Amino acid sequence: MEKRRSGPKVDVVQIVQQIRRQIEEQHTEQATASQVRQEVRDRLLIQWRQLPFPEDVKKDVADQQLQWLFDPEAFWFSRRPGWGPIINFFRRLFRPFVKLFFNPDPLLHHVHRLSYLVQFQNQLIEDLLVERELLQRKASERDRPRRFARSGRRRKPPDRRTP
Amino acid sequence: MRLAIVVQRYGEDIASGAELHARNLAELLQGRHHVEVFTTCARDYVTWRNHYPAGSTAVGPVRVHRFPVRRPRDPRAYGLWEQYLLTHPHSEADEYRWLQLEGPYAPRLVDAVRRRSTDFDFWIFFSFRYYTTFHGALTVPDRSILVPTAEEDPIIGFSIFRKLFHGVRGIAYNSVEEQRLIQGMTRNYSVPGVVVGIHVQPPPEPPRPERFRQRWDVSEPYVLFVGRVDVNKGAPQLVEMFVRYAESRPNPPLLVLLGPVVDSVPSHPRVRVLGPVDEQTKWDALAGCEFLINPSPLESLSMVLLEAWKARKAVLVNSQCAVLRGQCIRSDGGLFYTSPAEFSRMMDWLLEHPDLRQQLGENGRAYVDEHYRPDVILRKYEELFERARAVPVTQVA
Repeated sequence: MEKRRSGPKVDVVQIVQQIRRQIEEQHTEQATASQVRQEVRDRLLIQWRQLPFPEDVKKDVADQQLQWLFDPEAFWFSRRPGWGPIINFFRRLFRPFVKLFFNPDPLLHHVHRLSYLVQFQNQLIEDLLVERELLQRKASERDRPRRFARSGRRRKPPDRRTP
Repeated sequence: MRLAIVVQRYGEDIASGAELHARNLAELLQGRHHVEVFTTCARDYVTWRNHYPAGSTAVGPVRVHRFPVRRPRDPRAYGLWEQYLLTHPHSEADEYRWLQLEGPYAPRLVDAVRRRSTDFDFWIFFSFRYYTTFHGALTVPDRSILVPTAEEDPIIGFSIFRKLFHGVRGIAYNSVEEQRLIQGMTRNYSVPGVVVGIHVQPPPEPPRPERFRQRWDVSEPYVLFVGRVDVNKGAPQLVEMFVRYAESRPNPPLLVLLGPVVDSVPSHPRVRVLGPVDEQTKWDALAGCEFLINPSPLESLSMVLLEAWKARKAVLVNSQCAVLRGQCIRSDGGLFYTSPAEFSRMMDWLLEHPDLRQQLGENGRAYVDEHYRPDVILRKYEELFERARAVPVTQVA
């Protein structure tokens, strides 16, 4: 079953490819840095959503636009409605007792610092991707008229596989 | 022929994909064969809490036997355990425990399958991932036909499912992409399989778009989403993209969402969330829309896509879902986007080309009429039964 119908009057693959080409051409001509940044973020989010990670982790991080900070207080603090304040009271009361056996504070402090580092690296990756994208677009814009003039042919469209 | 259908939930008020598929199939097969349905008392797919009374009853023309769920699902424990298994090496026993947590844990249903195994020529089991399907199908391996309704879900890689996909007598796939996924994962090429899908039930009465417009006060052109408003169905992402689109265009259409709201979506003057509606309203809305959007990243077959094509409407789908993309390419009935930029351009293209949009809808209609007619579905199932009879069952150790 499910063979492609014979003699379709519109070919959706062609339409999609045509639209993608138009987007690409328009991007090289018009895209501003902020638009490029938004596109890079969208692409990163799409990649993130495709990773084989647990769904709730992916959702949490995607909702925060890939920003993530670890609050050390989350370790001790309960937000449970009703019982939360009582639990917090006992945790505060017994914290010195817990610390007689082991001290989680250095670990929490370290994870807290690491989360800032991850944040910084995310920002750095995004900036680099934006820079790369802008440079690529400038380069292709600069090359295009010269190629046309020299060869007299249209630029070959990028090799896009049928999706 | 005497046929039994085993499905996790069943009822006229249950309109979810696999369950609706099972009901449509039961009613279709009932015309030519004797069909009985074995199901649970659950209505809620999250907890499987017993809702319907246990025992035998009739739903439409079909006799239905309901069995109680012994233990409702604890979504939290189940979610944590699934995450653990997906990220750690684990044993088969761990996967069996996951299956029990997944549910619906109805051992009396499995006992009934065992007790009445020879009363039916074939047992048709719906959705590979449920306790009732796994244990039921392997209780009657020589008579079981599986309708996996599988998506690109990582749990399909669990080793216990190899037993299931190799241990049944035949498999009715929903799409070529689903068949490719399962055969690629489990190498069950020797098990007879056929790509069937399901027919589209016609609307109760001829659709009247003006009735929908009047009732819901929708006077402007609109694009439509039909389904659960849920992260897993891509609804919040769709609204996010649509809002960005609408704010950058002078006269954007409305986005109308029909279906139960599970996850909240951002509110916006161009977005109308109408909640669950009856069948007739859905068809009225389909008849009046510019086109249908399905942003779901995971599907084994999109029935709403088939319904839109039946209503001669073009569709715009998420290209991340191989099944939706494949259906659009095979039918030439819709476009598929991979990014918000593409989504916006394809929205523009569809709105600016009413003639071509109409042609996409006509292509879709022709595709549905060719492959998803009731007689085609019935013939394919009967062919599968014949092939399944001829092939011995292979069990995986």
